[in-house]
Amino acid sequence: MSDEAIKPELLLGDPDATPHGIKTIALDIRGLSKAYGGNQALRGVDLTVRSGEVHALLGQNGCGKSTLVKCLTGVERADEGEVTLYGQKLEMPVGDPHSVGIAVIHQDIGLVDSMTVLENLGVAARYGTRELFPVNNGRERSIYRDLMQKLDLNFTLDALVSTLSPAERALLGVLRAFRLMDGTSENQLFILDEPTAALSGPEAIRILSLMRRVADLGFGVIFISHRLQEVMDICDRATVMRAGAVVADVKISETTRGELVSSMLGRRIDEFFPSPPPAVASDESARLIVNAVTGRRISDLSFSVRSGEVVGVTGLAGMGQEELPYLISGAERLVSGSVVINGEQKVLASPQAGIRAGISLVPGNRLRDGIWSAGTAEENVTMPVLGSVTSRFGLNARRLRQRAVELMRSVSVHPDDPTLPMAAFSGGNQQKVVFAKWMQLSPSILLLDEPTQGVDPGSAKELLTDAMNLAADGTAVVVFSGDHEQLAAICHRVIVLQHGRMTAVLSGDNLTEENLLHACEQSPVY
Amino acid sequence: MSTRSLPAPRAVTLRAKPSIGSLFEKWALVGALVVLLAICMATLPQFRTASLLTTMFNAQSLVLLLALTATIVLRTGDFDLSVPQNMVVSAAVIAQLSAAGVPPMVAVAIAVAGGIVVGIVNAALVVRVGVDSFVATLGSFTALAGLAYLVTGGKVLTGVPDIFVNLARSQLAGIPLITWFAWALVIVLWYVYQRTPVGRYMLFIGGNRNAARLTGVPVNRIRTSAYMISGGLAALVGALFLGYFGAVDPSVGGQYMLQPFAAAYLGATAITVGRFNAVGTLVALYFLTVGITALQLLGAQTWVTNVFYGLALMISVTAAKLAGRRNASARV
Repeated sequence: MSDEAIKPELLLGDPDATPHGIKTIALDIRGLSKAYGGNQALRGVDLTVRSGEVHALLGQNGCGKSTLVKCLTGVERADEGEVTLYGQKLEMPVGDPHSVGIAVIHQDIGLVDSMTVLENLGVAARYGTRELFPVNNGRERSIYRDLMQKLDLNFTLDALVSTLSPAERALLGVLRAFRLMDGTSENQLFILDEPTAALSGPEAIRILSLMRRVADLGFGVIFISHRLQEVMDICDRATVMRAGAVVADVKISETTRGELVSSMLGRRIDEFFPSPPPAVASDESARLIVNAVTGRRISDLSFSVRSGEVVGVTGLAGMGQEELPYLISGAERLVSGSVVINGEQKVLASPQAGIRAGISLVPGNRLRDGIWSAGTAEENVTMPVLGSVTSRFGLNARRLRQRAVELMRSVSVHPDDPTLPMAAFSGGNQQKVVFAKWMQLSPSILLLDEPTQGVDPGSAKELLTDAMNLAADGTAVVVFSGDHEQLAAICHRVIVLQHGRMTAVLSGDNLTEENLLHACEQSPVY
Repeated sequence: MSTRSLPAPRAVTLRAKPSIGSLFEKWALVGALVVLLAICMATLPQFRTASLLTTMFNAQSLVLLLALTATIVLRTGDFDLSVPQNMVVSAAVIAQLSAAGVPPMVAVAIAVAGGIVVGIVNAALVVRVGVDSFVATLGSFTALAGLAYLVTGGKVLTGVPDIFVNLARSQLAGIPLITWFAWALVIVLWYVYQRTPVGRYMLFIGGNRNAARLTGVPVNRIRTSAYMISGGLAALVGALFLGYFGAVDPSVGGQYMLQPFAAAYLGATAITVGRFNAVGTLVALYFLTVGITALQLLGAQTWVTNVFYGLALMISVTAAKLAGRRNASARV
């Protein structure tokens, strides 16, 4: 970073100044607009973030949050508007965001598993040197030690990244962003884009407290999340966007979660989650019996799910709940044990066999396992039924199109244009397409792996309602998730895993978010 | 299934017509071929003779067959670079067996079996073990190049049975059979790629192998089959190669490496944009051929051919990449 770093301190006539003596405006956006073709993505957005505050940026998928961030980091060029960072007007488009003091930490921060923490940290900062000049490892180490002390983190710099938990990876992303910034300047803005989306409650807390700490050091922090409880817990202010415009800018202490959601959606929803269908009689036969199943992580796990029942499976990251849906659906081989489906013991050697037996798995990692992003929505959504939509001369294009439109409308995909490539849809709408793809098979067992990750509350409720309707029609639904609030709301019963073993089963009045959190954190008794 | 009330009615977006932009993209290469041909006909008198046109296209039929064969594995997201050498070795095997008195049909059957075995070996490395397909099939390409010398004894084999010459060179409506075979393969592959689930499964596998597997597509079976069909087809092309030239030169395989792949990649920028397809490959190859022929008529040296093909390949993959990037950024 250059020495001419911007150092103006814009004083606010605010009597209750921060512990740092002065309360400054970190970021001030005025009238930012951006259109893609005929589509107005941002309509005169105003946003003010003070230093020392964690500012939530909220809105449904496709509301313009990502476009806003892209304009700030120079990925996109805004059509109109002004951005001021610590009193200094930014040249738009921004060339190198770090050099002006903006760091974005994405959910997928791109770490290489087979390299060490130190090697991964240094890559973005060019290892503190230039192309063919030697890397001063000693100096690098001391820089990171200082930074870790400042942020209250503790990584073994020589550990391989593959040994880190998902939460630690996210923390590493923050540390890496810090290295890029001028260590002496306080004029910095950190944007965290859904850093907790893939994490379960206790792990998310580590990220949230780090974020708070960064703000307390006097930096500006923007937090983008769909998890409103976290926003209520940690943020100072929130800006809500809808259809490219700012619809609310409020102090968290003066609002409620319900108000935030209704600004996001433009309408009230009283419940954030649908209710499960009425509990089924215990004499109902089991649709799915998992019998002493052992995989790579899971060991000796048994449970059963009846027709019409919604069962949750949770645990901290790495405790086995990520592996279980793949074991049940045949995508991964069982080491031992068996799976009984509709009373028949099955050896599922492939996902194909699983689908034939009536299992649908909606995978958690959309980009890796769920979609073909260069393919169109129609090609994606009709993939499992292609064989049945043929006529004498091969695929029947007209019926395929019709089927695709029906499916997309049944889950309200927006826009409902089946010819668009999947990459053109927002995350929530991609997930709706994936949902529709599986629901058309009317599965007798539906496995949902992190079903609403990166999906806004409105869409999440719609998707879960569809799943609940399937359950009401007799499907056995199993939800694998780290989102305890969601599990407590939609499940009849939740199984808690630790180190691949079942350590608790919560149901009825016992099934609350707090109890799930407890059960996950308790050290297992062997 | 869903009982939720539908959102307020909006304009129906069941698109009747694709946009002008995507239509242009689809037909740009075809248009370029027509324009190039028209310019050549207007400025070069030789282009106005029917004999030049037929000679030009017939001479490329072998390359067209190879390019179409190459698209099979390319479509599943892998490479099969061994195709050209597979063709040469198969031709050599057929020539030697025929010379030893083996009936032609049996000789072809043996060569095809050999080609399929090459496909199985490629698939074993790429699909089962997970070796990078570029490196694995570059290995089989090189090994087959060596085998071609072993089979021919390092000599150019001549004295090919008439049946093979007739198979490739007899004329139907003034056009040799090899060209008809190539066009027939275009139609067969067009059908499989555009009209069948398997064609779409191949694309899905090329696009996201994990998602395809979890969607119940038999990924490994389709990838393995693609290599086997590619190998078997390469051997059949070998029989036509033998008949077309009436001889086998073991050193010739390398010359058939770049052109088919250039045509396949350039073809992916037309018709179904961003996807390897049969009709696009045909158009691309004819475009390249007309360009080369015109350059030669204008007195260009032989080295120009390779420069032209190399540049065409570089430009086409760049164009495909840019088109893909633009489509993905058209976020709604």
